[in-house]
Amino acid sequence: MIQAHYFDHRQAMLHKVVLHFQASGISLTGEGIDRQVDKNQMQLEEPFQDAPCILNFADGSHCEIYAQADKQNLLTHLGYSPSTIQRWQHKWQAALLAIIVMAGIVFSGYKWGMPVLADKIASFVPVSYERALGSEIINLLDQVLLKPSKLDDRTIAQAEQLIRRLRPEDSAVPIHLEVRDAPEIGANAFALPGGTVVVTDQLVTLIVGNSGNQLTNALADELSGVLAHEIGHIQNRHAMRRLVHKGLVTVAMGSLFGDFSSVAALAPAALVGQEYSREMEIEADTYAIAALTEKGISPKHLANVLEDMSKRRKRSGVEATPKWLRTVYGYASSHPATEERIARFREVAAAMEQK
Amino acid sequence: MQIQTEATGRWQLAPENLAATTFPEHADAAVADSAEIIEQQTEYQPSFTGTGKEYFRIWIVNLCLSLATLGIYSAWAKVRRLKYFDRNTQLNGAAFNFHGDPMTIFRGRIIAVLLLFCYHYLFTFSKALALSLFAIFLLGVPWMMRSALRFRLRNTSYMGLRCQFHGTLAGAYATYLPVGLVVLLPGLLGVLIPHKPGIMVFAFIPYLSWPWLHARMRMYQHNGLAVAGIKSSCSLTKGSFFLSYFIIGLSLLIFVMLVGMGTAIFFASFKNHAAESYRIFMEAYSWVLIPAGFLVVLLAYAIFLSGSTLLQVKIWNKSWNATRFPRVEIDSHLPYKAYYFLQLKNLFLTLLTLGLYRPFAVVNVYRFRLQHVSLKAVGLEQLLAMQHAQVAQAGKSGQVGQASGDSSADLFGFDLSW
Repeated sequence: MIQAHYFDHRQAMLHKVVLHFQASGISLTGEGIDRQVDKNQMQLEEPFQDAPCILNFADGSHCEIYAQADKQNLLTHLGYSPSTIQRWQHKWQAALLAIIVMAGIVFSGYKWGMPVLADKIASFVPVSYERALGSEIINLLDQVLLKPSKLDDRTIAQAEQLIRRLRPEDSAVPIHLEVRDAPEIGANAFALPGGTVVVTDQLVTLIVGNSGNQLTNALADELSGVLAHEIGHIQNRHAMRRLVHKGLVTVAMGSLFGDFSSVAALAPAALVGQEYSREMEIEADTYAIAALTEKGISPKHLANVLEDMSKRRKRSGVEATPKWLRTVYGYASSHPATEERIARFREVAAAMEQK
Repeated sequence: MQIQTEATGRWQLAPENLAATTFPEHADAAVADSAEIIEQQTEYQPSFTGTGKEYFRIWIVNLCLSLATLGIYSAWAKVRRLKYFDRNTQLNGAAFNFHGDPMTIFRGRIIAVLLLFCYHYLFTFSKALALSLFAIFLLGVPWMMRSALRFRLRNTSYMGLRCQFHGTLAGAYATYLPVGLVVLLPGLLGVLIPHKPGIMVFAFIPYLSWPWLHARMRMYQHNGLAVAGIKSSCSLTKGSFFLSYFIIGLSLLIFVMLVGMGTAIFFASFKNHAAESYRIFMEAYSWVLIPAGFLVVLLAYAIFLSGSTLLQVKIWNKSWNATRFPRVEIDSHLPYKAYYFLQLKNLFLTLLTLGLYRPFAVVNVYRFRLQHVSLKAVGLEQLLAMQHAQVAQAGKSGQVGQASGDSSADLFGFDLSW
């Protein structure tokens, strides 16, 4: 015998009834109510610990059973068997196991799934979109970070000559050079989606020095080294792959934590604040070594520039401190240590000289 | 009193073809006996029987399965979550229930993801594309908001009755079109007139109308609620939220500016006047900056939360106190201080447990809100019983669909919210 609240769905009225179990089903009796319900004419909803049990009948009416003892009684009598998910929910150990499983999914998804998926998606991105995006980014950078180059025309022409010599015939995007003054960035070079390589005045000055040297011979080879590395990024579509990857991570985070509005807010940050992964840097270095060797340039020149750049960065590290955040967080990033890269170039160069 | 007569009038007008014998008698009686009725009012307090412990296990399994299925399961997870909360919510000896079809939610989610993808990646692509997406969003969002409200309410039941949302489509456009315009304008202008930061500042000016837009959204929602045939009315006005927004918004703005200026001045003066000690300090103590910065951010957030919670509490109380059903009044008295400390506790524990406290926090807030809302009515049972019988009767004459078997909500339903 079970106490229940019965609702007939014709009238929103609470009828107190008593349920009796019978061979064919159950009977409901109460004030003005006397009905028999067949076993296969009813269905029990997933039971929760303190919520009333809900017994739905085929004609749309339902019963709510409140007392714990009655609920237990009902479940036993109806032979209710919980679904796999419900059984999982009921056990603490199993629920805690879910945390471990999730950590595993998140970790492996982030570590292996995302990059593969990002590369797949990036390979579907049409070159025209990539180029449009690239010009969008350089426009944006020209407004906020970059200024027109202050170098003389001849030096720029020499630099452009270098990239023309290096760029491969089979490139999917037109590779070209932009030289810009960038006091805030310092001596650096970077590749944008769509084939644009940006070299800062500060990098060219670092290479040629302040005494008006020409960008020729060994100095030209040093810049060539940097350019080859950047072309390596372009040939492997690193910018696009990285962008798609960041987008995926942001979307995944956004949907995980339920706040999708943050996705839109993070988009500009993803466009500008690009940093390549360790694997990508190594890939670009490998390309650079091959390209330089093919043109008869020793990779040691690239090692020299890198060394100069890292020295310069160490010296000016403190001065550039509105980015104190960068000093704090930046060195924990994914870049392969510059020393490692320099050592690699020197090793290859030495091996080549021995031959 | 004005509200009451107005509401009764609406109530009387809406179902025109009802059996004329029963209905007006009750309405007349309601007006005539109103003075007496107020004295006889009973207070009905909803209660919540769910616990953080139980919901934690549901939540973690939901999350795990959603992750493992790349989000597909999240629609089913949402139904499970809403069922848990609705079925644990009781009022006057009966529980609520949720009947939504996960497939409808899933469909809504696919559309939402597609739209967000378009907004996220294609909006800045070209002016023509931006304009057409802008138009699609502007025309689509009001319809989707109304559909989501209808879906949520029509799939919620109480005592075997389905709730309803009867806000009109025209009302949805009048309410959400301006909202969409204000939200999307900066993005659109950024694409149409690029590289002009001056104009972008102006593009954000329409946001100043937010207090009115917010009130209008609440009015649209709270005017359209119904349990079977008992429709709500809402006495909010467009300017109801203005003062709260003005005072709280202004103080928060001043606070943010003061903190920002203070930090900037501190670092700038330190750097300029004592460059050498600044350098030494930075080299030696830069590691301190992370925990110190973290604490400062947390403190700033706690203060910011005090403002935003106050706004939330004010708007919540105002909206529900202004909402009434014929012969049923809603009394909402969410206390600010206790609610703020609850939110603060939730925030810290959620951070401390890397998010694992979140289900407990959700249950705490839900229970707290329910504890501070109550219904005041005269014979809620009789009122509900009478109302539903009438709707069923009208359904027979083909005017209003029967509430309990309303499958059209699922057919045309569309659900967006997470």
